[in-house]
Amino acid sequence: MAAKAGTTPATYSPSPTTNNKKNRTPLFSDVDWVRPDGRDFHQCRPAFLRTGAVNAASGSAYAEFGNTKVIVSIFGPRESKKAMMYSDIGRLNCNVSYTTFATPVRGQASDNKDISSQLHKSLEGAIMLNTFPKTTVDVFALVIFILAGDLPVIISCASLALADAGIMMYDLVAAVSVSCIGKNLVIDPISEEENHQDGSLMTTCLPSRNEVTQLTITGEWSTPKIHEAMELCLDACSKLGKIMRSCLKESASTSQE
Amino acid sequence: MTSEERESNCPTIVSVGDHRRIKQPRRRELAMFTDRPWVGLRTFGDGVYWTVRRWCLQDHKALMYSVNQTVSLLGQVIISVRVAPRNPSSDVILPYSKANGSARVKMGRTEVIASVKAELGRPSSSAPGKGKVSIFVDCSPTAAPQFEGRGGEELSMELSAALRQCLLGGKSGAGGGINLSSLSIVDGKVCWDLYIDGLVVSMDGNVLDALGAAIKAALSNTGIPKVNIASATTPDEQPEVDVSDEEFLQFDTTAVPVIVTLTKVGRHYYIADATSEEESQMSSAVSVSVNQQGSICGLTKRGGAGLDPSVIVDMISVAKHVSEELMNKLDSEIAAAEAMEEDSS
Repeated sequence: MAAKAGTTPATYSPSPTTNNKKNRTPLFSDVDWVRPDGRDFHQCRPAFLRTGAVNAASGSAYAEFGNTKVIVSIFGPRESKKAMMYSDIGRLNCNVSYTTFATPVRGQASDNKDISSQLHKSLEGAIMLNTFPKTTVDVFALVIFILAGDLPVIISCASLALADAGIMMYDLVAAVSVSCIGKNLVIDPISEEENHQDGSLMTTCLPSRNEVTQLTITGEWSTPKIHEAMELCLDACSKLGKIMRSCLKESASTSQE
Repeated sequence: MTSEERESNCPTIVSVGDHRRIKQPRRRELAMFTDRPWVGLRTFGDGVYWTVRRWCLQDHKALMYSVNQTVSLLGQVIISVRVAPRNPSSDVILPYSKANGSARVKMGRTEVIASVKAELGRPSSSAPGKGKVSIFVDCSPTAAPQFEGRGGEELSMELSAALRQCLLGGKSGAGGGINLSSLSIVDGKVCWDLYIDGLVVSMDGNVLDALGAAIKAALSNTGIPKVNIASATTPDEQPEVDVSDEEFLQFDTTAVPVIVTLTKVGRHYYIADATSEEESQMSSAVSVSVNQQGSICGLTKRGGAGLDPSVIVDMISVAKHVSEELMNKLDSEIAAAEAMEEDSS
């Protein structure tokens, strides 16, 4: 394991578990430490995006960012539930569920409602709800494998699926998160880095319109650091937006042939 | 223009329909002119403001909570003059004997109660040297009829998540308002579980700020009992812990941040401390939590509309300025309420 490489316990200890934890933290407080997967501080994970993962849905997408795998399928616009009131704009219903084998510990991820509402907040600013009045668009995200957090992957995949379904949107939604570990800003953190972070900043933006639909900051930040982190995020989001666009163009051209 | 001249210029209120709703905005706006400072935002000239105001008051239907053109215009104008937050007044710190600390905060007509309860528990395996804090907000139906049963669940989840983010800091514990290591009693075996519960009693907009202030006040009022640890016979057994009845540890709340919500209304303006009338016009809101040192401890954006990044940066700097004022007021109110409690007990 990368964390234990190069560190030897000084004395024999009958409970090796406590030793592991003590050895893990110094890794991130060194001045120039290397990320566990060998990436640069400002380098994102390679993104694999494909649309049309689910045949039965109106639109769907599969995203793989490093080890995180997510499928999102869109059903709609379809009739709203009878119990709901009439509304002259459309409704968006988001649901994120985890497979039982999604996390290293079986059945660990259970706070679905929180993540579902965050997904809803990120997407509703981008969708033209007035183009499908009285109906509902259902966004169902299934997380196949995830180590920790990783809401940005779910958001990006969901917006790609919405585009595949033909739902009218103002722009694609791209999401990136930045972690502050010690003095360094690390983009697109993995779970190991996230556990030792001093703060995190997640941005969801519409790259072409340069608008931020969701911004979540935790931990202690000084104002210049926030500026730097936001610039990093917006830059990464625009690049991710280009990747998403090229994926959509590819799938459109292959379907035409 | 002095305030008397302004008052004489005010149109007489037509007492048709729900006159209470018409009167209250007027009282509030007079207070705005007389004692609130501006915090560097653009303002309309007085003349323009008054013309529009007069027109809207004659059409009293415009002040109802429905979206129509006059209300949106009113929203744009009224915003430019209201920037400073309402005075928080923690007028009563409830001597709620079952809780370790509690506070009630009133901001205008928004009223919230926060209570802190400490119980012994086991620390989680991933953080054996730290205590646990759980924050939960409940919206009572007394605040709004739609909160009956499960109606208030969505709002209470959003508020709880925002508070958790602002008060607990990053995963490594840095930047958190509450020092979790101080809650640990025996490493890996016994720790304090803090249950912070908020209750929204009356809603007039800006509940998150009021909850942040109430939690800060409740924490400063909290006393954690002293514990005596009997030595454990083997490392695997639970050590015996004896909780004393005399309150011992007072919480250090200098690191607890204060939350400031800036609501964007219309296209160009944003206001601090929106009332529910102003919130009905909101397109999006940014809640910034700032601590004593002036660094940002958390930020949440509510509402679906997109915001330009430069606007967000601007909001952060305005929030920092406003939070200084709010924190000073809050600290003085807490000190006054505590002094009153000591005098009466």
